[in-house]
Amino acid sequence: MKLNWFSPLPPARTDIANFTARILPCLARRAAITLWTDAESWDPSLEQSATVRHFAGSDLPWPDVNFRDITIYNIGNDPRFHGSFTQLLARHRGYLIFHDTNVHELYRSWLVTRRKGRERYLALMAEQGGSEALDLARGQFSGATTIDEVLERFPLTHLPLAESFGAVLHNPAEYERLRAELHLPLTYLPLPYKSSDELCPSRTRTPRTAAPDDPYRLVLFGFLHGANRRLTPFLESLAAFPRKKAYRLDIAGEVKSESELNEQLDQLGLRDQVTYHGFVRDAELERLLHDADLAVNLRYPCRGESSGSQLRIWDHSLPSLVSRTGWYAGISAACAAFVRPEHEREDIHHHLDAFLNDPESYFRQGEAGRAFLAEHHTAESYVDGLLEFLASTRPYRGRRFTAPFAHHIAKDVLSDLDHPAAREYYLDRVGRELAAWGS
Amino acid sequence: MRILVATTHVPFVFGGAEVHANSLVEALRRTGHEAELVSIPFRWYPPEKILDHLLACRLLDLTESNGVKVDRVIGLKFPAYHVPHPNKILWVLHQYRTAFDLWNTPECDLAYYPEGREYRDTIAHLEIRLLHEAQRIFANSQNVANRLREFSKVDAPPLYHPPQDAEQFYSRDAEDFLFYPSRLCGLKRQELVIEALARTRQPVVVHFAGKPDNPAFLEKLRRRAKQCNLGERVRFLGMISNDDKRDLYARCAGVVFPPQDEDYGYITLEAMLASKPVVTCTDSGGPLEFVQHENSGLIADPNPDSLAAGLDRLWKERAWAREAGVKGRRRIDELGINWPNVVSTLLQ
Repeated sequence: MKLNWFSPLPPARTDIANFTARILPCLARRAAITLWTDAESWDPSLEQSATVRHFAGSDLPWPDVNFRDITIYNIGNDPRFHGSFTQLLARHRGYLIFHDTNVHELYRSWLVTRRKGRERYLALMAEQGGSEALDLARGQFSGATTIDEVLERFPLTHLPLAESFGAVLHNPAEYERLRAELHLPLTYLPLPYKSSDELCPSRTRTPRTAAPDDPYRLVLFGFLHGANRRLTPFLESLAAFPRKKAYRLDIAGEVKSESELNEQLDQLGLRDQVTYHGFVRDAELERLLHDADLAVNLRYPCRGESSGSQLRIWDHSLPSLVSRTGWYAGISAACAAFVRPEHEREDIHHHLDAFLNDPESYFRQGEAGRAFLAEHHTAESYVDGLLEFLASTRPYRGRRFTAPFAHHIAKDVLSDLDHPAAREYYLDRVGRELAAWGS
Repeated sequence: MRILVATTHVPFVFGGAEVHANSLVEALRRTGHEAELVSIPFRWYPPEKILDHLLACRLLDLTESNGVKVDRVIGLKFPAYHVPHPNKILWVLHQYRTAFDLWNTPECDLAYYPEGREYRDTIAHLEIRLLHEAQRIFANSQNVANRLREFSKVDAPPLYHPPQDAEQFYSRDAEDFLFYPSRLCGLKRQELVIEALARTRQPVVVHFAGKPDNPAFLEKLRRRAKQCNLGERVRFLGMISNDDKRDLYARCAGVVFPPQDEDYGYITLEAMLASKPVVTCTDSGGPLEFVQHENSGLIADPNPDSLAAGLDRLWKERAWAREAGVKGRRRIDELGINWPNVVSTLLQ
């Protein structure tokens, strides 16, 4: 099988790039992969497993694309990495790996930064949700509503799905919801991490008594721009925690503004306890995770995504605090400690306290997470599931045309038929024919 | 019987498929049937037009005409062969080639559209769905039968037919030219012949006859021949009459016919009827069902050097070439390819 794989690629600062890099060696053993990117550079090691092709705009060398069997688009909600894919998807249908089912921000940002973008965005919202959507969307620009309110109410999930042959979801709840709503091939596959032979060895951490010169180490990492990553609420919770001196926090990754973060740390009195490392190389992040005792991986509101960061945390047999929301809410309580979004500070304090009193029970969660990762999230099982899904939905690809073709007939032929009887006859005749074609 | 022959044509293009359809109608009439040609114009670009034309064919009603029943429909080409009829026989000249055997080749115009692969999958799906409506399916050649099996899981025995006016072909002593009569287009690979001529050791001369599908293609061929300094060794005769064609077959030293995966190829049969050897290529499709290497002709690899070697041999070894031509004629006679057999097989 020959696959086109549209995805951000390392070193792009998105975990979807890491996702592609993680499964690529395994995928490339089963299929010939062409990676397509509109980024100017990529990690050359990818070329050991795949052909990498650069594209610009939406005019691709189409024979090179078409002569491969299937096209797969990795869709997330960041327009910097996925905006061009939405344009291509409208011209060349493929399957989605749907990393984030709330794609409102993807479409909004992609549109509004273009000519007449605001008008086009408002028109899209009106088409998707009528006057309610239009009012909400307008409210963003006047300050009457926030972007979070709009995207919560109108996730625009169906937009890319409508152009696709089907989708892979990493979030079981989202999969069940969409399966009930759509007649489209969908499958749920647990988000993969690495091949089983590339995982870190299982590890048992030893409890100790935290001392001023040897505090427990917390780690918080990833792409921390968005408010949904809960950086500020966590820092405020930590600052208000009575036994805070028993902890040190390492932050790694991108933040909105380093100076604002430093200012915040000063205001909260956390300068001595928190180290911001900036965006670090993979090896450095691995070291931080290895040295950590407890990871913080909060997410609220959840945008339908599952968490590659959580898999990385488990790979290090590391216990973690996660928000009880979205994909995270489905994690077994044996593998992570939950923070209720509506009781965020209370639950954070509870866990920070409980950890100090009984670290071993948290370490056991990390070990259980590592075992769960090895059982459910290897690249091998993901690639098996993906290829099986693509093969099983092959007949659907030949029938997918019926809906757009029927639309074309209705628009370009039937609209000119004024006579009701002729119209009815033609509708019936063509309807029966197309039903037979699609069977 | 009242029989309609359903085919597709591209207005202003005339080639083997049109000859085939007309000849079938004439053969049916000669055997006492009422027969007519239903020829549906076909435009295949942009690709959504393909489905428009298919739907148009599917909405036709050929079950009766003027209150009188049509006993049988014989379908020849996509999408016309999908016209519904309860007593339909297919004699497939070829499927929609860019979706099947020309897919993955530079000749595949469908692949240049962003949605090309989706249309290809759609056509493949519909072929399987609709071909089975026919009571029986025959193929124009073994090559076409192989494609039907490969792409649409259909078993279709090959049913050979003779070229137009087969009985009027004759042979004369060989003169100093090879003959290549055909439409001028990429699939017929006249370019390959010109490249080969630039590499021959003998002063081989080729006369090309036929109209270009697109005038720009002829200009391209002329330009290339000039760049290769071929001078009088290449002649483009344009459209010629059937009489002139038979005369050129009769007087040539051999026939060059190296198309890419030809469905059937009248040229092979016509050359053999004129007792002339044929040089073709290993990937030329239909001609390979008739030409036997080193016996009735030569089968070269599809590259200029190999084809040039074949042209040189034909040019230089005239006695061998004459003998090969005689063997070709004998083979075609033995195969018993004739219209009465075709008609009785189709109407069984």
